[in-house]
Amino acid sequence: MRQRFHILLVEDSPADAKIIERALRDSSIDARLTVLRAGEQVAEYLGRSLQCQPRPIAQAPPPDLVLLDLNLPGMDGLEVLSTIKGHPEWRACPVVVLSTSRSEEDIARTYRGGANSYFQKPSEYAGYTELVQLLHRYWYETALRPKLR
Amino acid sequence: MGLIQPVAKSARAHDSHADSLAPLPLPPRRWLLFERSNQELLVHLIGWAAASVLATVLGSAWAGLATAFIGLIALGVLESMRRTMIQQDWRMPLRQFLRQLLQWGEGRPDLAKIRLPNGSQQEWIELARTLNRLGELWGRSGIGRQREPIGSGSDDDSNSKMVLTRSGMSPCLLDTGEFLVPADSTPSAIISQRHDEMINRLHPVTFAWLDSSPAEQRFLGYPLEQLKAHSFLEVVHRDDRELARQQLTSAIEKGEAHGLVYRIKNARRETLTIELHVGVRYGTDGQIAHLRCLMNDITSKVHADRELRRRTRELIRANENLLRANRDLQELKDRYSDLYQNAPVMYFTMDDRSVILDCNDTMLRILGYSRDELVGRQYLDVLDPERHGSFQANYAIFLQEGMMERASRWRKAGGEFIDVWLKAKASTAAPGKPSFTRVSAEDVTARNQLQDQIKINAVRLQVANAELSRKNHELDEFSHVVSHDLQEPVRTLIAFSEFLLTDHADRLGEEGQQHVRYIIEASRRMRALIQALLELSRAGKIAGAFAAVDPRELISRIEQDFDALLRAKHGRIVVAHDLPILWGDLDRLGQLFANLINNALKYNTNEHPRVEVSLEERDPQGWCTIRVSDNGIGIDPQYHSKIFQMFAKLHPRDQFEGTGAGLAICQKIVEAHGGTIQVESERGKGASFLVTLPLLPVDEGPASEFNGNAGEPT
Repeated sequence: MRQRFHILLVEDSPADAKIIERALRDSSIDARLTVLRAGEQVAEYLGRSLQCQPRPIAQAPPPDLVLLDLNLPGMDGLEVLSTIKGHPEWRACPVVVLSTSRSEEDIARTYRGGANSYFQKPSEYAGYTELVQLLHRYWYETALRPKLR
Repeated sequence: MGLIQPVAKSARAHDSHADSLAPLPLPPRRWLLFERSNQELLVHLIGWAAASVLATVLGSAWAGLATAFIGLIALGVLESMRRTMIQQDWRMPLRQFLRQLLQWGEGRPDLAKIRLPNGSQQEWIELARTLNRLGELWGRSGIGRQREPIGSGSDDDSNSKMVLTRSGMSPCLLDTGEFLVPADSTPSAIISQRHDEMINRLHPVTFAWLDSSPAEQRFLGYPLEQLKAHSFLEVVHRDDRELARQQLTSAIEKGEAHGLVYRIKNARRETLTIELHVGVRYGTDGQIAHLRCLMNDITSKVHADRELRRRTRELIRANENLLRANRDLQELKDRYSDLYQNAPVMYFTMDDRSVILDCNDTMLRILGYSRDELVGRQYLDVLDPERHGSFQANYAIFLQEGMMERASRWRKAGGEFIDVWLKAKASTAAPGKPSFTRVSAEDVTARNQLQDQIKINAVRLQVANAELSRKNHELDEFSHVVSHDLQEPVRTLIAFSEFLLTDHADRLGEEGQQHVRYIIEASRRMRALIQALLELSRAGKIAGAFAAVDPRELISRIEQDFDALLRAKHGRIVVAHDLPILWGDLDRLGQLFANLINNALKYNTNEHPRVEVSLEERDPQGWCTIRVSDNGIGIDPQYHSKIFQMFAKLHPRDQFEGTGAGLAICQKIVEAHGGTIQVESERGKGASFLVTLPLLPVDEGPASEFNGNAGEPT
């Protein structure tokens, strides 16, 4: 039995989070959406702080997909990315970066940081529905993913 | 003829004598009459004897004796009379006569000298006989009988046995005891005696040689036999020949000619100059027999003359040259003096004790001293007192090194100070002359002030530039950040407004829905403006280094991007082949052309919109101007500057959509590349935008650079 597709959304703007939620719903995508408001929460979610060594106790299982906003208050999106990609278990999890920026430097840095994809946040709601459908199709229906426990 | 001994003649200038037509003295008649031969004596004796016999026969013996006696006495008396006369009476006139002849013919080069006997009567008689004989000879040669006297006013004694003519000269008595005889009075015998005179006889018509003295033969280098076969004119130099002919002909007419000068060429092919004296000799029949010429070699004289003239000319020339050189020298001196005195820098010299020896006018003028006041003064008097201390040390170093260049400070006569730039060179001491120093000084006070001012200005400029740069950067950053951060709330606005419409349409009602629609529209516009702002701020930022950009590639990509728009409007883009490779930021230039082409297509109500991109101009400095023109609605000239303003629109929103930022962005991009953008347009006549952009620099260009230019170098 397949578990529900778990998407972890790291987004500080509640409005943007709402939009994604709605887009999933309108696209009839059956997925569990966890929203984290800040980069620090990701570290908590990961079950460890930055300073400590990884300890394999009471960790949350990695999601099937991470949607990461670059523009986060406090801990920056790129830092979150490096945290995730630095974790021995979580680095296997696909991270799709969403950003308002189109700049070459941001894109390059993001990919260099290990992100799996980079998307510009759509300007219209229709773009959101398209995007989530695309991501679901790609990461859930088509690509094969490792089983992460 | 032992009495006659030819003696070397002395050449004398005969001109005066020859020219004076003094009448030839005539021989006294008397002494001629007393010439008597032996036959005459015999006749007298026979006559006397006959007379005596006759008297004896006819009378008595006493008659005969008386007659013989008388006759004897008579004879005796006559004989003694004759002798006396010979001794006294005719000897004196003879001498006189001869002396006269001598004076007349003195210096005549054509005369030979014969020694006059000092001796006895016998000798005198013999002389007289010789003279007569000569006279006969002359007569035979046609001289003596000539009746034509020479000169004017002389008596013509037709009864005299000898009438002397010019050509035929009687012997002339020289006061040295010699007398002259015409050299050719006896033929060859006398001529052959002449060893050193060049005398000849020429045919009067052909001027061929008839006779020639040995000296002449030696001189000419031809033997007599050879000469006889040729005319005199043949030895004469070609250029003088005609003249010679004419002069010889006139000599024949006049009877003589003197001092004729010709060039001749002898057998040794030497060209020599001779002076000729010609005399005409006549025969017994009164006709011309020959020409007698005496030749003098005046070659060396002519040469000497020529040489003298040449030397004189040379001297004159040398003199002129000297004068000219003098003048030039003076001019040079003046020029150098002027150069030195009025040079734009100050010059002075000082000795080894740093006393000013001399200076130029410029120095006097600038410092405000007169020459007396400055020359002889110590250099230290001019030097700024504050620098006196270090002067000695510096001077010592300078003397060691031989040259020096430094800034210094001097005091003018009025007490003011000026900054000077000194260059000094020590002179290498010539032996005997003390060493001294040459200095040039430039008043650099003004220049220093200017430089200081420039430095200050430069610093100010730098500061201003830095400030400007910083502000610009800040502005760009600001725009970027702001527009970035603005996008999010705008997105939220739009999305949730739409959710409102979608989810709560009933609750909103018609009016409510319309309100929400307005909100959505406004939000969309805001988003467009923000994006435009973002683009604008990015346009000023050049992301990376410049590179080669092919505009044709750019435009073909734009064509692809605008494919839908082009098809919708039935439009086309025409690109010229000769667009050069540009030097700039690929993205920005892409944006530039995209905006321009977009505008060209957008503001176009033509059935077939057409955009043309062509090369307008190419500048050898490394720039080119590209023209993007369309057949659109055009822009009224009064708005040509407004259209580049940020967010300026000329048309209402519903006619042509857009933020109005396109051209502002274009301008910013063009300016970021250092170029310019201009518009040419009129309402209804399409629009042309001219952008000036840098070209690919020459030394970095690939071969493809030449593609569009048919080999034309950049």
